[in-house]
Amino acid sequence: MRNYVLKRLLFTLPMMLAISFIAFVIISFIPSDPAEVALRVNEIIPTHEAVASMRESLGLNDPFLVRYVNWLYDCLRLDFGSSYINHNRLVFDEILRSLPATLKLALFSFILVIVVSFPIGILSAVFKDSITDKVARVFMFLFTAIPNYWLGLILMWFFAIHFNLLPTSGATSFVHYILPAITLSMTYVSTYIRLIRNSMLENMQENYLFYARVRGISEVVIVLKHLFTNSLQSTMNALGMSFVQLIAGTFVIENIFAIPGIGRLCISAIFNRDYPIIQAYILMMGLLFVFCNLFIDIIQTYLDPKQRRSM
Amino acid sequence: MKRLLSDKLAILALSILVTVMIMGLFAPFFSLHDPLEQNIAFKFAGMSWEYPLGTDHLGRCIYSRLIFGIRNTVFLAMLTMVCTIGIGVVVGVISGYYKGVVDEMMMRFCDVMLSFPSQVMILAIVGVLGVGIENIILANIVIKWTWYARMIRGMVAGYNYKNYVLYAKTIGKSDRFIISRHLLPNIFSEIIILATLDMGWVIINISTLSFLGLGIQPPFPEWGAMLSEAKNVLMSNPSQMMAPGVAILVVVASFNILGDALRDMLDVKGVVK
Repeated sequence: MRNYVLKRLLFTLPMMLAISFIAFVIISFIPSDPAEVALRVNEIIPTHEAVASMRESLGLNDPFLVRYVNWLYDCLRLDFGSSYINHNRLVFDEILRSLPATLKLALFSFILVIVVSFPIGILSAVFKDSITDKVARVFMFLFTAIPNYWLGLILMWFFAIHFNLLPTSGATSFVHYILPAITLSMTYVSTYIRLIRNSMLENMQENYLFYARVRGISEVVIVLKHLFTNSLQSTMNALGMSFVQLIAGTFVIENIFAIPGIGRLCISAIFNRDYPIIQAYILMMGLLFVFCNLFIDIIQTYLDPKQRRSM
Repeated sequence: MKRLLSDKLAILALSILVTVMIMGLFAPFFSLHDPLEQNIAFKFAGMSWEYPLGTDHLGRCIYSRLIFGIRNTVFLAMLTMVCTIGIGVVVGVISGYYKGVVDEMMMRFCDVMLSFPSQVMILAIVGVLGVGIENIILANIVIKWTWYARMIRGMVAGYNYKNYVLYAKTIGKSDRFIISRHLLPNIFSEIIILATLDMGWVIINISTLSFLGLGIQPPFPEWGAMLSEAKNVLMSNPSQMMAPGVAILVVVASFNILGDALRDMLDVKGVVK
């Protein structure tokens, strides 16, 4: 097991390098001169001398690979430079400040996805074509077609404005996350109900279920212990991906509910052309993606007796 | 085709989509007002014969804006899809038909692209190129084509060893002939299904970015941008958000229903979203 984890960790290194390279290259595609942008946002007239000195101070005159290595070295020391908009603010601090809100939102949504979709998925597979199943199918159909920002607006109007039960915006306490988390999770809930339902229906034909029934094991145990755990295998992989997608997908929800998270930071950076923040965002999300994949792979190998024994 | 006609839900979805497209094509004919025409005296008007869906915060006719919005929301999504599939078909067919080093290189490139979360990629591209609908469309094409290239390569590889393709090769038909007469017609239906199932995703994606202000800029009508304007008056006039939201829901749902029906009808294996 330890060897496997080490091997997988080693394999992530080239992937991390590739992501850092993408994040670096993308920013060098910007149509405007970063030195000029940096001057303009600080309301300094971009004269030739000013641009030249800014280029020098930003290190833009070095060759491409030198710049990349320098940048990578800075990144390893967690130094992502300072924001173009406000030179006193370090990119790393900005990201660190907005990360907790995003992670909290993603985590609440993730828990919500599991808590809601697993029971409904199981019920609608076991009682196929019953009322529960039909309601679940209508729900699935509706929430794959509904744009989540519209759902957010509706929920906000209904619960926060019409009935005044929950706050409309901000992120100071747990109640602030209820509506955003519901909004964010709904699309995923419908996906997972479908995934679990289909996977369980497929597994229902298997021989081991027939054998378990012959042994006289109660139906509840059969469904939960045998059928569900076997169906979970295919769902696990998707869940790992979903967690990152939840983090990356928060930017819409954060903008609606005014949550000071990393997605909102990135969107405002796009409007302000604050390239260091965009770059750090890309790099961080990419790395997060790699690590979540790694984590899920290891858990999956650990949970699967067949694979665990072969190691 | 017969089986499609027997599926009532699919027929409904298809007729909704055809109606929407005709209305979008002949938008000036179907609309009652200029979508940009402001009439402050009539702001937030209710439903009436003159303004079937009322007016927005600047007194513009919501119905007319919705009709003209079809062009920006649905047609631009279709344009995105056509470009995506175009690139996907070229790369996929070359990879699947000729194989070899080119295939290997292209597929590894696709793997790297696919391993990156799509939302982050979109934000990265828009962040670099700047705000604007053309960049949104470009970003969507960039993140989508690799997936199509992979799917199409798989389809082509499946037909490569069919007897009629082998026969055509033996009697010395040109590659162009084999690709255009044997391969493309065969994979065409599968591509259509993939595209139909994916259209909803593209519509939601483009309208989301316009909702955030990264895509279509005001005052031009787009359903996501209309919802963004409705958001600002959510407190005082919540009904503003109904029309564009329902429009997106109906169109996306129709594409999903149609895609599912087509998939069931042609019983294509391996086409799983």
